[in-house]
Amino acid sequence: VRARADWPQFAFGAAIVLGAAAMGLVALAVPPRAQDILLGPRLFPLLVMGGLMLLGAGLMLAAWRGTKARSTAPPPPIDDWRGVGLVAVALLLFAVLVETLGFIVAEAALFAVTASAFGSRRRLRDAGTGLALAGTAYVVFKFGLGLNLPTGGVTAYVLAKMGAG
Amino acid sequence: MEAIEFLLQGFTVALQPMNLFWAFVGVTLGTLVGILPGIGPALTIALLLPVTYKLDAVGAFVIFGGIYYGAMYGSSTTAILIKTPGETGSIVTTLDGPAMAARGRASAALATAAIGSFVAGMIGTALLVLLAPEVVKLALMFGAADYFALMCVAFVAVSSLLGSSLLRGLTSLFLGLAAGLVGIDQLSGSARYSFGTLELLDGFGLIVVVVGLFAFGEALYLVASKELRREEVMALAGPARMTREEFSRSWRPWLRGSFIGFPLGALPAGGTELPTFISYQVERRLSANPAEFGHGAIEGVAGPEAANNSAVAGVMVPLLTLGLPTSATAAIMLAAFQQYGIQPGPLLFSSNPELVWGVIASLFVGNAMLLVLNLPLAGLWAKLLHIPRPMLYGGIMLFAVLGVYGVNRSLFDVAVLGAFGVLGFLMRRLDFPVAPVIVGMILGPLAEVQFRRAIQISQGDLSVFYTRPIAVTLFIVALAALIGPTLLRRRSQKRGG
Repeated sequence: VRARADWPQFAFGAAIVLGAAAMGLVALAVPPRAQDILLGPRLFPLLVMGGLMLLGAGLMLAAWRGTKARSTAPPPPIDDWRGVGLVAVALLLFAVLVETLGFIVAEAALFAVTASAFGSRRRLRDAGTGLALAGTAYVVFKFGLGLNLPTGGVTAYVLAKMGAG
Repeated sequence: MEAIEFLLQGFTVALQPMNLFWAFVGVTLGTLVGILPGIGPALTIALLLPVTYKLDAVGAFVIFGGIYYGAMYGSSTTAILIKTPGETGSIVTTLDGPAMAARGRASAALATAAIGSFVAGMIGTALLVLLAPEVVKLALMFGAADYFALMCVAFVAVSSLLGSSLLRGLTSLFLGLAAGLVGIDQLSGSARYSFGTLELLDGFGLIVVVVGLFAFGEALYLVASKELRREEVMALAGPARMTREEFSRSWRPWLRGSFIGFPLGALPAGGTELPTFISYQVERRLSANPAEFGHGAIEGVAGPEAANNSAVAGVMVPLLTLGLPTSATAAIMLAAFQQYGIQPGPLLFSSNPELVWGVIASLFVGNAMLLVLNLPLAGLWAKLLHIPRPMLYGGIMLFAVLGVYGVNRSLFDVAVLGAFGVLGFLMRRLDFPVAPVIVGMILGPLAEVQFRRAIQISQGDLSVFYTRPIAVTLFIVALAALIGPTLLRRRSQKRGG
């Protein structure tokens, strides 16, 4: 019985072949110094990229034939793209917010959006929990460990108000 | 015996109040992350690196050792009560542990796992004490070519034994090797794959990659299928304990598991997963009632849970004596040593005995603490499983991103974290093992240095790799590990079909 071709793995293998080929060319583009034709800094990159191209081709071949040699059960099908998207958005949101609204707000947003991706419906409670966790982490890191985290305009304003009040 | 003498000196370090405290911190944290699904010892130690940097090296490694041991204890609780392995070393426990819990014997399953872990941890650490000085003597004879050959053995073992096929394991390993190439080449000083950016000159940050693969990638993987997020916590009341009959069925599997786990962990055989599978098979074969396996046989919990703990002790042998990591967690511990400017290896035993033996002694101490933490308090720890998943994964992401961004305040790092997260997600979906990526990334640059140093010493003569007896032996071992499993698989397939 001919097994069905495994297209996701075929694509993954193809991406590895192409990426490794490109990176191999990058390594070749650096002209070697005379003393290190054999041994220089390009030897290992070329070996690794060559190896990756072979492995990628092997994956493509195995996927084409449908011989995946999986011993474990395949993971259950993806049925929650909304969740995947939200987890990705959570990280993006952190990157956008951290240098504008500051570390605490960005971390709280990351927490709340991740929680909602995993099915939480209680937005307000999540935001509160996120703020509390992020605030604690901020205090511990900034004052306990001396790591410099961006306070951010809004948070700095609130802290200043609290300090003044 | 000189090993015993060194160990006694180690205890004078391990029993100092501060180090006792750090051991307690480590084992508590280890049990915690072992129980919590989605966060394991590798990720935890990586996240702690910037924090522990403030400690002395002994304190830091006492914590790390405690985390590694503790995670093996904690993961059994998750495997038994929610049928999800807390760590890969407890996958096998999900076969019989939950079945015991369904029969109302959850506390017995937890007890046999905890006591088995204790017995195995003690035996494994004792074997570590006896074996390490011998390996050190051997390792002192190693030249650069031999080290390179040894690393090849580790590469092959990690990729052929973890994961479902050699092709997948090797692909993971090579992706890690490729990631390890980025940055300044140690020997020539030339920049590789930095594309003119300052950020890439130092290479990918280890914490960034680990968090990407193990926290973000894992979150993406788990959120994708509703089936992976089911949560059904089985009932457990009070402490873990078992009947006399259950005890008498357990003690032999504990001992067998201990002696299966240690050598497989000590050989560069890729950590804790494989020994648990072997232990399970052995117990089933030896059982008078093999049909019970899969339906709540206590031997199926006792053996593997012992095996994974003694495997952890075994993993410490190549890590401490050769500087050779054979699991993702060990690879991160190696990076931690480098952070302190310490190179683990045979010389470490003579240059810094109080560190090596202090850490080894504290593994005994931590193991004793873990028994106390996990037997009477099993019910308390089990409550952690009731943390709602949205809160748990929100919290993991919060701390993971804190660990990445807090160190360098670099949005570039966050982008790299995202990229490795997507890679981790794809790899998990397509059934590639993730641990070889970490081992390849850490060990790759070291292997390259040894390779080029060997050729420099021999002045360009490649014969160093096939004339030195140690190197040749190791290459043969690597070759055997490369093709052996494939041949065996073929043979068993032929016989089966």
